[in-house]
Amino acid sequence: MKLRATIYVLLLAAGSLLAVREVSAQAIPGPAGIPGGAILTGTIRTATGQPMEGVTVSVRAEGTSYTTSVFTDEEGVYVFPPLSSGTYRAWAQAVGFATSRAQAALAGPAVSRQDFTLGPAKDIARQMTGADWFASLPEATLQDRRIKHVFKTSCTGCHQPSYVLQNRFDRTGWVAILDFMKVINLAGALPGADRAPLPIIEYHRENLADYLTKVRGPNAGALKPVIVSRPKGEATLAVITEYDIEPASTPGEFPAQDGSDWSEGTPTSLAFTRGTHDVEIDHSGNIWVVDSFGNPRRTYAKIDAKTGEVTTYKSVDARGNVRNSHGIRRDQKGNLWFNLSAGGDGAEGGQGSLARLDPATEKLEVYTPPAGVSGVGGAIDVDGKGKIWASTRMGAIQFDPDTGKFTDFKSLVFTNADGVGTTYGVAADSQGNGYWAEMSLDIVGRADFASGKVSEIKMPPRKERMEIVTEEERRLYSMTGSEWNSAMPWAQGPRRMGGDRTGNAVWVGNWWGENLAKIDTRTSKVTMYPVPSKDSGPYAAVVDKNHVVWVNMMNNDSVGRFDPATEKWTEYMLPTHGAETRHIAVLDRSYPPTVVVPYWRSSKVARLQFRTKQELQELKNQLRSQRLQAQAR
Amino acid sequence: MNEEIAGSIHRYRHGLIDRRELLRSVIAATGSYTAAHLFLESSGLAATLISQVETQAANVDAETVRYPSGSVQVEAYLAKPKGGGKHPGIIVIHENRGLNEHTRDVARRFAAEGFVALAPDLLSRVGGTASMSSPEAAIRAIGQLPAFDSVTDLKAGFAFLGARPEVDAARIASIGFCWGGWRSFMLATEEPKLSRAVVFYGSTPAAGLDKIQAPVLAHYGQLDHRLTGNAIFTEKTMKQSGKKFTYHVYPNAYHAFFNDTGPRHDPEASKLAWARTLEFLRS
Repeated sequence: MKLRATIYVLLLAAGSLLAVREVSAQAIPGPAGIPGGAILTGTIRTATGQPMEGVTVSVRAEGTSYTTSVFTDEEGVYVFPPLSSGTYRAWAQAVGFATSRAQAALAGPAVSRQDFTLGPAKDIARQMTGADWFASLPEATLQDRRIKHVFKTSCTGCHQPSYVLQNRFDRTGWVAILDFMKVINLAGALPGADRAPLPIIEYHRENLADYLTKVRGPNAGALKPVIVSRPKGEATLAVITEYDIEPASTPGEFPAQDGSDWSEGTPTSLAFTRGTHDVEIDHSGNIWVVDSFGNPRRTYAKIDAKTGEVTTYKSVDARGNVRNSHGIRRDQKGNLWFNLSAGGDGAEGGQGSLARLDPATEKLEVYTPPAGVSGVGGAIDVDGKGKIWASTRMGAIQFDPDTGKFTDFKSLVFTNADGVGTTYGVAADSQGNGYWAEMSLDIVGRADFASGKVSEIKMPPRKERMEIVTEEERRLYSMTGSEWNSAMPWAQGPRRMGGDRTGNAVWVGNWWGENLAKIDTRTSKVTMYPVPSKDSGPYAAVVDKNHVVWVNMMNNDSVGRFDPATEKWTEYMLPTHGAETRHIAVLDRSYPPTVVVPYWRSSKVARLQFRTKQELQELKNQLRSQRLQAQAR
Repeated sequence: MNEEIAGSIHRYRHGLIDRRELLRSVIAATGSYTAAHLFLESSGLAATLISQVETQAANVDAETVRYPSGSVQVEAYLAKPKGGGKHPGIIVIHENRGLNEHTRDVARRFAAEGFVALAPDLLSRVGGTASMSSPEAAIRAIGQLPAFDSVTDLKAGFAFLGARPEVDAARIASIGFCWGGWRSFMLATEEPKLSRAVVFYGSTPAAGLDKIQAPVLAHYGQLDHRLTGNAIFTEKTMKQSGKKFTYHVYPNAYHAFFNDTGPRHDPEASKLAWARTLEFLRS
């Protein structure tokens, strides 16, 4: 762990005028930048002088807790929005190339140039995103195709493939990892000797060990990387601010490895960096996160979008333990709604209460379902009528803020002791109906609020995956079914969802199926749209006022923008690799909107804002003419 | 005692309702299956009233016995056929709620089929099932029990049963349900003289299958995915070690389908599994 000064917090606590001035001098730029700020620009080329598009360029001023990143365009040029004066570290990254670093003292309104030349990476394996890995893993033979997919559906549901594959192990090592992973629970704890292993891993244990040793053993041949994670065109127009969040368990300390430098690989530290689960952005643009990892300090936290200051809040249970949360959503009035776990055991999420936070007054109100009604689970959405929907263990619950009443809806399919039908994500539509994902059953439950009737929307199985299994595997899968983190090869895995509050759609991240599914809320018809990068892991969805859908792709460290009108995707890359994003939120009062995603694995939040091609071109033209003028003088 | 329960017990005592109807009424009054069973154990009704009525009905004898396992005493329910002679023995291993009326009933059913059945209370090390203050306490206690201590207590039970004059020591089998299923399978790995082992929806030991001498029969519910999904792997591993393993998957059955006092009872599957079990034990 590296100790990093949280300078704003300290200065603000002192309350001095100087501190306030410091803060305003170090204001965090949006896409338009700081008026009169310093310009940092440059060109990035390969060692042979070729301009490189889609290179991530990041800067961080000394003593600050946030990083600003932009991307090079097709000419290899990057331009930061005008930045506050200060001493900056700058670094440029592209998978397959060594990270290039520089230091720059910037002072507005001067223009500073910093060109980078990127040489080859020493170890590309540490830099690759999960989607890069999937594109690179061999599948020449039928057996390879089959086992590669088992690897995907049993080893990458809970963490990114890059976490698994960045290191090499010999066969004994891979077997030890498989034997550990087949029995540990979601929180990473070892159960008793009598706990049955995950049957799909157990059955494929030898074949998985062979495959993993072949691709990532000590004598594995050179990797033939296929890189899908480099953005181009429209996708290079994002301006991304990443805010550090002090991990809840370790006050004053930040993870030494947080994914900012891709050559360090996917972050591997356990509890200390994890827990930032869901995120929202309030009407003032400040960001709120909820923590899902048992800790002594934090239920939720606020990030001041202008300064990066993080303020931590807790809600305690009857025994004085800090309650966890998991899910958060903003309603039409700007209130934030999140779940509070039942508390006590430190387990993730759990059932419990619903909390309403007014971000302006920071007043918190807690609503607990009465006895006989299901507890509030870890996924939240708000319908078009301003009613709150939350997941429950076996369905969803609606809360009416006007009457204080909870209405409970249960899944039609029986849920067994292993939680096969357990709810994952939840969504609500413009008409006030609720939807919940029964991830392991490929079913989305639907509650018609007016009639109280529950129906099922089925995600069709992936037929192409049914064809490559053996007869014995077919028998195996008839007995195993799917679990959240170990699924049948043809599973779709509806995970988290987002409702269009002003349209006629609910959007579903089909995790295993690699598509974004649209449920037409009038007919329940399902239409599936493949994700732009194969195996990128569509996780959660949120819909903006223009019906555009935003999806966090956990396995590619990216954010997808899907426009239903054109059926076109744009995939924006995050400046951190191994972020492990599990949620997404949008603020669309102005447009293009601001999108935020939490990094569960590396304790940060990313804010994505967007420049238009035209804005960037104008900026480049200005810089060019200034340069010509200077040369003429 | 709650009036509703008192009334049901009265009706049961006088033969107006049967055991399952009594159970249903106690479950309704106590709020849950687990609470009902714990109430019957801790009130003594299971051992004194129900056992007496049911043994009479089944025409068998039953009593509570104690046997040593190292430094601890294990309490157990012993049911046996009336009359003399030697009989095969069977160790009946309970689910993760402790020794309750359901397990006693299974023991009596075996006695009625000519077996001497011993159903140990594996919570004996922490005071016994009847001493638990609440269903939650019983579940917690079971969860905290060191897994291999219970196997030690079963081995001691095997020795206890084999030393009894009415038991044919060469024909002692084990049968376990749910939590007890793994323990029945484990006993087979630890006790080379065990003649047969039956596993109802239990997990498979991670090691030691090569030490098994007894043929093993397993019953799984199709929808009990985590356990049932491992059947093919278990079969392969047993085969590789040259061991006898047979399993049956019961279509659309859930975990604990055999428990006729629980919410997931499947009468058809239970009937078939019981017939297969008796046939296996007598083979």
